[in-house]
Amino acid sequence: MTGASPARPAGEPGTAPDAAPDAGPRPAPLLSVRDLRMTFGKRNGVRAVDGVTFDVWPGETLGLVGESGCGKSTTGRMIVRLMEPTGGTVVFAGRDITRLGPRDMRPFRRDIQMIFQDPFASLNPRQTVERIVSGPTRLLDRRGVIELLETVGLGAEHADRYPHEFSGGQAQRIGIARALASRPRLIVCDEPVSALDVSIQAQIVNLLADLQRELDLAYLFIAHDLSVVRHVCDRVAVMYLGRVVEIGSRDAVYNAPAHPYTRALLSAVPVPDPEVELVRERIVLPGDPPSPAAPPPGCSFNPRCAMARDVCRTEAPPLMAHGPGERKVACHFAG
Amino acid sequence: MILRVRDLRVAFPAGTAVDGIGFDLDRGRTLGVVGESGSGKSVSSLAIMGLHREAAVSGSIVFDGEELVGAPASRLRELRGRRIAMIFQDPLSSLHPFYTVGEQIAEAYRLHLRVSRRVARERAVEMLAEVGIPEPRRRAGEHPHRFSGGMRQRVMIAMALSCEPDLLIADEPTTALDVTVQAQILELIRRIQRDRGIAVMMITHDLGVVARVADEVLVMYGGRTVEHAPVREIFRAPRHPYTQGLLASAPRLPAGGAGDSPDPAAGSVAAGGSPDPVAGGVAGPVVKGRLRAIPGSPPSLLAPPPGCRFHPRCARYAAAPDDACVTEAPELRELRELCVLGEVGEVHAGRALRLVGAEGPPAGPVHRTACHLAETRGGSR
Ligand SMILES: Nc1ncnc2c1ncn2[C@@H]1O[C@H](COP(=O)(O)OP(=O)(O)OP(=O)(O)O)[C@@H](O)[C@H]1O
Ligand SMILES: Nc1ncnc2c1ncn2[C@@H]1O[C@H](COP(=O)(O)OP(=O)(O)O)[C@@H](O)[C@H]1O
Ligand code: SF4
Ligand code: SF4
Ligand SMILES: [Mg+2]
Ligand SMILES: [Mg+2]
Repeated sequence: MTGASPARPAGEPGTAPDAAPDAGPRPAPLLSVRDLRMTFGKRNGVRAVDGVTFDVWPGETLGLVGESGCGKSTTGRMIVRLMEPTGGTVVFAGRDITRLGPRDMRPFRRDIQMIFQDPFASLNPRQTVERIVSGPTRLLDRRGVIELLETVGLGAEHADRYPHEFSGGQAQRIGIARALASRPRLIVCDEPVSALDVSIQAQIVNLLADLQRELDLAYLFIAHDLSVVRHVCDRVAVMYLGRVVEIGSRDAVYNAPAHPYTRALLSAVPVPDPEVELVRERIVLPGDPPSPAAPPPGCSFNPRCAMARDVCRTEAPPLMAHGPGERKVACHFAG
Repeated sequence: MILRVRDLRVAFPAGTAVDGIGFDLDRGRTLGVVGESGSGKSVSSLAIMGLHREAAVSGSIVFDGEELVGAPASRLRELRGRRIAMIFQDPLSSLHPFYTVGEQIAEAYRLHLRVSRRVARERAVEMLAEVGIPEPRRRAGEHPHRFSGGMRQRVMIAMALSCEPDLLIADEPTTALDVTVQAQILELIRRIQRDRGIAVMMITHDLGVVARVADEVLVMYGGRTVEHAPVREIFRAPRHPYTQGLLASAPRLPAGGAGDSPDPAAGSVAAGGSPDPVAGGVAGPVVKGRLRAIPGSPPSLLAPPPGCRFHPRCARYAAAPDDACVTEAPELRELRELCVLGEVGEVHAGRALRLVGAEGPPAGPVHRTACHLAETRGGSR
């Protein structure tokens, strides 16, 4: 989270299968998602994820933001293979894992872990913390579990307790310990702090930042809270209705948003400062986010976009390079 | 003054959820109530609405000159919906799935005002239009499940306002909504408040929402008020270590995208003032990637810590432990201007601006805080 340098080898001896054939001295992405798709339902399917492409580099945090239902969680679940994509590829450490069977997938399951929004729903209420953290395959012995609990700010005294005995913040720490047990290189964090109180959110954000530095983890950080994302991410991807509409370095996206939707999104976020709120310019978008079951033709943002012209109602804009900083934007009239 | 609350207590068999809060609220003004989950925000608002069954409510709630604590249930029913309206976080749970949206608004209206069905239906359509539902006449005939989350909240607001209430209590009305829809709803509440001059009690855990809509702010912790002040004071010169910690731990966007500079708020406070490293300061995040977290977790209602309920997490106490913090509950006390003027050297930009600024002295309550050490050097910021 602290702007980790991307100049690390793509693989660590022993954990990675093989690096990309042409990796050479150039760092390779740890995760490459290409044209990923998920359509729910056979006929008139809901295109929840509609061609998503991005990379995550070793040791970095990529934020994935957007409004409810835009496909963030579905994207995350396909990457950890909780869900089979209906199209596109997921390449991890140079290897296409999209269609690996359970056996071939096993080493990658260790490399890619996930933590969830609702810490309680994701912990088995009938298992002790020790069982939960050591996992179904008993990856760790008791000592290992206790060590890990200490890493996440809990202690040996918590090992024999059950999830209901913990607060939300503590339960999230348990979820993080469980994710760390297999020594992953990438963690998909799906709204890891959204359910927590402000003061506890900060504790978990700090824990994730410390772990990243110590363990050289990469995060795909899914969240709808743009203030938190700005704080933790190196790069940010903004999704709208199943697609990435803007992606780039955090500063490029936050300081000079190029897509009209990104601009509106950022201007809508309330800032905890009454004097700023008083004078701040706000773009209040009309209408609601459309449903992926019936996306508007052309640019799916066009019904809410103040800049929309005829071409926007007929042609979907591709995600294209825009200015410096490896930023890409999907808008016919990107500013 | 439309609402005057004094020493409000709400005790459940399991424990006391609200332990003595008080405030005044005028017409046309918005009180923001902030605090973490379980701090007693909803329990307080339900008490004002007279909606507690198993709880013992004591203290005083005076609405437009009339005492509501101990008032007969029938009287509370009359006021509820008619003069005091409420909207909740989850609009779907307060809408009936079998009736059309128009029927529900009309029914709510007819419950309080003796008008014909036809007049009530017209009123419903009018209200839907007022809250910005497109094609209100057609949409009035639809069932709630056809509406998005934001539109349902608009429907709830239409229903709440149909009888022209004097007080609107909004309990986390935008927490379940997307940020662009939240912006719409906050805008709507503000417009309606301005047009009709109603008083609003806005309950939220989001400091940004408070900064946007509130005139004054009540910060709750463990069922008690820890700080109460005009909104600028809360954000510019928070006095309670909990308020300071909350502000410091909340990540924020830079204002107006002016580069990735340190937070503007941090700048203006730190520049002229005496950042208080002990209290964590309000200077916002310093180390990138890390936030200034408040350690520990909120107190349990069943076994609240003795003395000041915040002491196990308090940086000010940790830096200068004082027995009073663990033995005595601090009272909510007014911060005297004098004590600020006395330390002119420490006066920071925000405060100086307030004293000499064009807008004159701020309206609303005086600045009150509940901390034994509020006036010690380490505490006054
Ligand atoms: N199992 C499913 N069957 C059918 N539709 C689904 C399923 N899972 C998700 N969807 C739909 O796919 C779209 C994307 O859902 P997803 O959960 O990925 O959104 P999200 O961006 O994570 O939203 P949120 O911010 O609310 O978590 C939504 O329209 C959702 O209703
Ligand atoms: N019906 C009830 N019976 C017992 N305890 C309750 C009841 N409703 C709320 N509480 C408790 O009162 C405290 C304050 O709750 P609440 O006002 O809902 O908090 P919030 O500030 O999140 O709105 C919490 O500890 C909660 O568990
Ligand atoms: S392509 Fe057109 S409608 Fe879409 S965001 Fe750009 S200007 Fe707006
Ligand atoms: S009374 Fe003591 S423990 Fe409570 S906030 Fe003040 S210094 Fe901290
Ligand atoms: Mg999701
Ligand atoms: Mg509540």
